[in-house]
Amino acid sequence: MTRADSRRVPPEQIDAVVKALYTEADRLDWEHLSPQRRTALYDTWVTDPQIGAVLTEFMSAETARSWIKDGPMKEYRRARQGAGRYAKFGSRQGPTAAQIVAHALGTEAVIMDGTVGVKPFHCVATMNGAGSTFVAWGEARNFRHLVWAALSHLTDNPTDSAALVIIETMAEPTPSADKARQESIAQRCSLALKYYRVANERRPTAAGSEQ
Amino acid sequence: MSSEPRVAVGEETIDVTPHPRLLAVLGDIEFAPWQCLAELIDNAFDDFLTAPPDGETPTVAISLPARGSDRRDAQVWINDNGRGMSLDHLSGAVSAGWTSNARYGKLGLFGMGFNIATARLGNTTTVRTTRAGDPDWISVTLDLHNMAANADFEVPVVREPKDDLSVHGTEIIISGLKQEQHEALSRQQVKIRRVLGDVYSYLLREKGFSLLVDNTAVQPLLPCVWNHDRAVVVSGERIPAYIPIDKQLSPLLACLDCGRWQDLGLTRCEECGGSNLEERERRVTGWLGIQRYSHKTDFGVDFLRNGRKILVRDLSLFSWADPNEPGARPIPEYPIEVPNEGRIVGEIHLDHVRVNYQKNAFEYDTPEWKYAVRVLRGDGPLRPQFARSMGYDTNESPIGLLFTGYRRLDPGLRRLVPGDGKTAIHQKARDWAELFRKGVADYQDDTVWYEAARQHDIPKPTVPPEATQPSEDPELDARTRLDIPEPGEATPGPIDPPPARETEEQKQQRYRTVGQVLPDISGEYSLPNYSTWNVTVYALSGTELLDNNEQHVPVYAQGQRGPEVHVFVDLEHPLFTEFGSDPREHAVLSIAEYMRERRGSSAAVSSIVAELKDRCLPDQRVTPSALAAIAHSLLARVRDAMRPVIAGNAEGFWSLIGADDHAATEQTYASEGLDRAWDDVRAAGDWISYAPVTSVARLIGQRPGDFFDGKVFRASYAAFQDSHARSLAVSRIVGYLNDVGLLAERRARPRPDDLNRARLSCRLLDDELAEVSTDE
Repeated sequence: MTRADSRRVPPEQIDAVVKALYTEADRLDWEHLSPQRRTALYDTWVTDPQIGAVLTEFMSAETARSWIKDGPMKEYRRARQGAGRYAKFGSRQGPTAAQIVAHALGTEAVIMDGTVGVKPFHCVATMNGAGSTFVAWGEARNFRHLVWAALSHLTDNPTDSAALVIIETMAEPTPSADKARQESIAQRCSLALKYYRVANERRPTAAGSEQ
Repeated sequence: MSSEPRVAVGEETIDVTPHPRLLAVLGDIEFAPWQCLAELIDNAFDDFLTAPPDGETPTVAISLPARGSDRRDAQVWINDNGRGMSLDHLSGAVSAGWTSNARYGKLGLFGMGFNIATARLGNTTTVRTTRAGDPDWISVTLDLHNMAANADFEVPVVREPKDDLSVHGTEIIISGLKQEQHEALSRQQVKIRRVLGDVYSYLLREKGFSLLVDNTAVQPLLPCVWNHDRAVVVSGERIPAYIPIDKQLSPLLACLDCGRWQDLGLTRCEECGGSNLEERERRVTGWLGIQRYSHKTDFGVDFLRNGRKILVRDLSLFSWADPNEPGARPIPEYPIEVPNEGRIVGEIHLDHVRVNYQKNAFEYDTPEWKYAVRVLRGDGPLRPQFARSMGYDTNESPIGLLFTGYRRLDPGLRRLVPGDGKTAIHQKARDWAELFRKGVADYQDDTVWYEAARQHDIPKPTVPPEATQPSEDPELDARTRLDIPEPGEATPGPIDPPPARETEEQKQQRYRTVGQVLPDISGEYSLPNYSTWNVTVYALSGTELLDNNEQHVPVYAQGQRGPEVHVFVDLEHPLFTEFGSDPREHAVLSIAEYMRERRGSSAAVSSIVAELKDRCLPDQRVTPSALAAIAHSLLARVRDAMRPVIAGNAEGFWSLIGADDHAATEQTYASEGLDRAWDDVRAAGDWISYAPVTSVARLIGQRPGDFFDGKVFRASYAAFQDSHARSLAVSRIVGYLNDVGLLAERRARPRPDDLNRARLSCRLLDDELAEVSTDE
C-alpha cells in the first residue's frame, strides 16, 4: 500500500523529498539520535513544507509518515555508504573500495574490473598480476557475514586468498575482547584481518552525493 | 614527622617523591560515575574551545560496558577528535598535578582530574594519542596495581604506525573496572546521558560540540522558558519574562599559577609571587527568565564556567542573608507562596570565578562571586515589605523584578500561568514541558502554554443578549450571528450554482477553523484496557454544532485517522448558557463515552470519567489541599491590597479587630520567626499580613467605605443612598471572604457541595478584587 501510494508521486518530487529528508537527517546527526527523538522527527517531517506537505498531496498523513520511516529513512545508512536505492542522495561517509584495498593490501594493489559488490561490501584485487585477493569490509557487528562471504569466495576460487577489513568509527571502537575473538576466528579460517578507522564524519551543512 | 616538604640540611636533601600507591588512592575521592566521565570530557572540550577540529564536528564518543557484560572484559572508552598530543604533552597529561592549561581559562583545572577520574573507574588506563601528520599513535598504559607493586613510576611508551597521517585525536581506555563502577556504568546509560546533557547543555547547543554515549547523541537539556517577548504588568510596570544579562567588569590580571585576580600594572602575583600574569576580561553574561511550568524542585539558576554547568538549578540567590549578622542563616524568599513551586530560571556564565576541584561549587568567598550575586539579585531582600523593614529600597535587580512579576502562580495572562477557566493547570504545563523536551513540534514555542493562560481569562459563556432582548429584525440578527452577508451585498446569486451540501468532513474542517483549541483538556487520554486516544477539544462560539444526524448538540466527538479524536463544544448551547453546565465537564464526558463505545465496554460512563480525571486531568482535582492553595494565594492578595489602607491608620484599625484576633495575629507573626520588631510591624500596619481571615472580614464589615469603590474591591458602596443596598454589597463580599477563609484554613467540610461552593466563592471574590497597585 505504501509503495502504491508513493508511486502516485511524480519521480522528480520524490527525489526532492528524499534530498530534503537526507539534508535534514545529516544536519540533525540522524545516526546518533535516540529512538524517541526519531519518532518526534517523523511527526515533524510529516508537516514539513518540503517533505510531508509534498507527500500529503498524494497520500494521507499517516501513509506519508510510514513511507518516510520505512522508505528513505530505512535506507539512510546504506545510502551514506553509497549503496541502495537512494545511494545518490547519501552524503558519502564510508571509505571507498580503493581506500580499503590500499589499507588491506598496500597501495600497489589494483581492484579488478567488475568485482566490486555489496551485501557485504567486497571486491577482488590483485598485486602486480600475481594472485588475487578477495577483500570484504563492514562493521564489526557484521563480522560473520564477512567471514561467510570470504569462505564462499575461497570455496569457488581455491587459489585466491582473502582479507577482511572491519570498519571502526570513533564512536564504535572494537573492545579488545571482541578483537581477540575476531582475530582467532580469522586465523582459524586462514583469513587476513585488518581494522580501518573512519575519520570522524563531519556534520554537513549541505547534503548531496559526494564521490 | 616534619611538615616541611623539603628539608635542607647543608647540602643534603631528601626525596619526597610519593609512592606510586598514591595514584590508586586518588581513586578514593568521591566522584560519581558521570563526574569521572565529565573530567575526561572536559579535557577534550577544552581543546575544542582552543582549536576546534577543522571541517569536523568536535566530538567526544564514550563507549560504556554493556548491561550484563563480564567485568573482567569490560572497558570504558573516551575518544575525541581533538588535536592529539605530543609525547611530552602526553607525559604531562597522565602525571598527577600537571596541567597544560593556562590554569584559569579552562575547564580542566588542577591537573588531577585525569588521575582522579581514571583511578576511580578502574585499575588500568591506556591513553592513545596522535596528531595530524604524526607517523604513529603513541600510547602509554598505567597499571596502578603493577606500579604500586614495583614501586615504579616509569611506564613504557608504545608506538603503532598510522595508515592515514591525517588522523588525529585521543583515546582513553579504562579496564579492570571497579565492581561498583562497572555496575553503575553498565546500567545507567540513560541517566548518565541525561546528566551530561544538562551539564554540557550550553556547549552542545551553542558551540555545536557532539557528545555520544554508546553511539547515541547526548541531547542538550533545553531551557523551557516563555518566548522572549512575553511580559506581565505589575503596578503599571512591564516586567519581561526574559532578561538578558551582560555585565562587564574591568579587566584584571589573572595569576596563571594560583588563580588570584589582581590589579593591572603589577608584575608579580600578590598571593604567590609568581610572574605568570595575564590580563583577562571578566564578565557576567547569560540570561534570567521564567519557565513555562512551575515545579517543586526543577527551577533555579544554572551557573556555568567555560560552558560547563557548575551549579545546576541553584536556589541560593532566592535567599537573603543579613550582611550585618555574620553567621545568620539565609532566609528563603522564593518560592514562599502556596503551592510552593518555583519558575525563575537562568543560565549565567561566570568564566572568571574560581571553582572547587570537584567542579560542583564556586569559591563563594571571592569578590568575583559576590559581585555576580549583587548584579543578579541585588543587596536587599526580594520581598518589598521585608526589604523596607530591613532598611533597603525596593529590589530592582533582575531577580527582584522577576520575583515581583512572577512569584504568584495565579492562572491567566496577568501572571502568565496556564489555566482552564477555573484553576491553574500546573501538572498539564509540566506534561507539555516533557513533550517540549522530546522534541514534539507543537510544543517547541510557548503557544500552547500561552493559549491556556489566555483562554483562562476569557469569561465563561454568558447568556447572549439577543436571547433575552430580541432585536428589531430577528432575521438580520441571525444573519449577523451566522456571518451571512446582507442580501444586498451578496455576490450575484443567480449565476452561482446552488451551494453543494456540506460534507461531514467539510463541516468538521469548518468547526476546526472557527474553533479554539482548549489545551488544558486536550492531549493524550489513556486508561488500562482502553486504547490511547489523542484528543483535541475545540470550543466554538457563534457556530451551531450539528452532529452527523444534523441534530443541534452541545458536544460532539468524532474519531479521525488513527488515534486522533476531535471534540467540538458549542459554548453557546443553552445547556451552558441557560443551565450553567460546565463545557469542559461535558467534553470529558463525551471523551469517556467515545472511549467506552470504541472499546465495546459495559462500564458506566461515570466510572470512566472518574478514572480519566484521576489519571489524565490531575489539575482538575477539587481536593481540600488543592483548593486551600488557591484560597491562600487569593487571601494574600486581599491582605496586600488592604495594607495601604491599614497603614493610613494602623492603630485605629488594630483596635477594631478585638482581643482574640490580636492574639492570633501575634501568634502567627511569632511562628514565622521574622527578625523585625513587632512594634514596628504593628505601627506600619503590616500586621494585616498576619491577621486571621475573621478579622479581615470584620474590618471590611466595620469600615466598608475604606475598602470598597475600587480601593480594594470593585463593588460600589458610597454611591448607594439606600442603607439596605449598602449592607447587601458588604455582606456579599464578607460572605465570599468567609467561604475562602474556611477553605484556606481547611475548615470547610470536604463534601462536594461545600467544596464547590468554596471554589465558586474564590472565583467570585477574585472577580471582585480591584486591580490595585500594591507594592509587591
